[in-house]
Amino acid sequence: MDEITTTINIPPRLAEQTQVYLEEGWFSDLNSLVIEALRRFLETHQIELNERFLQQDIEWGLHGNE
Amino acid sequence: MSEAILDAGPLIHLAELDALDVLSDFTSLYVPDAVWDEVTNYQSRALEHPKLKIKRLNASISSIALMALAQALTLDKGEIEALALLEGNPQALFLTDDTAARLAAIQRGYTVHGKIGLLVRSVRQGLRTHQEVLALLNGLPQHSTLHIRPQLLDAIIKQLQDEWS
Repeated sequence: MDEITTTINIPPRLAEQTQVYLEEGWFSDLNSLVIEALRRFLETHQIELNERFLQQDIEWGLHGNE
Repeated sequence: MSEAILDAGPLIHLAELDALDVLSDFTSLYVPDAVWDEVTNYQSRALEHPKLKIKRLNASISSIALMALAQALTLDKGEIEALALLEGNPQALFLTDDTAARLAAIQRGYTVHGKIGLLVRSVRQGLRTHQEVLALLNGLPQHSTLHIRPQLLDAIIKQLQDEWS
């Protein structure tokens, strides 16, 4: 798949935090930071896991015995 | 009822739905400092609900194992502080909507649930009717920043309709 070019609106507080990382040199540009953030999110928020947790929640909600 | 330690997600998402009352039967709701600050920024009224027994707590993070896990799963400050509070109160229920935080909590042996579970549970606890909860779930895409695949949400609603019919 080819690269995607997109426009994002970053809320002020997130933008502020982002700026700190850029100013301190942790990332060369906003593009690199966003790619890293996306990669990390996708690694730790797998769809299958998410859906399994939701199903566990419903079971607990319906039949939990606390 | 029991004690719970909260991440920001359930407080923010339930406030968005005007459904914070589903937490009203918990004897104590512990909110670590970082979560408190996060919720204040996004939904401060969530912390002022008259029916909720919310207590703000300072969490000191001393466990190296917790820090390693937090880094591996890219947990944020609030999630790490919530997990640190759980170390001192492992019987408490951890309430989070974040997959990675939930994974970390399970790995540490804690009981974890999220907003959808709380909504469904509220029927069992007599806090909400099933019609009210189904209406809240139907309105989720319009009223909440919790992201669920539309087909999955439809399947959940169908499952609950069958269960409650």
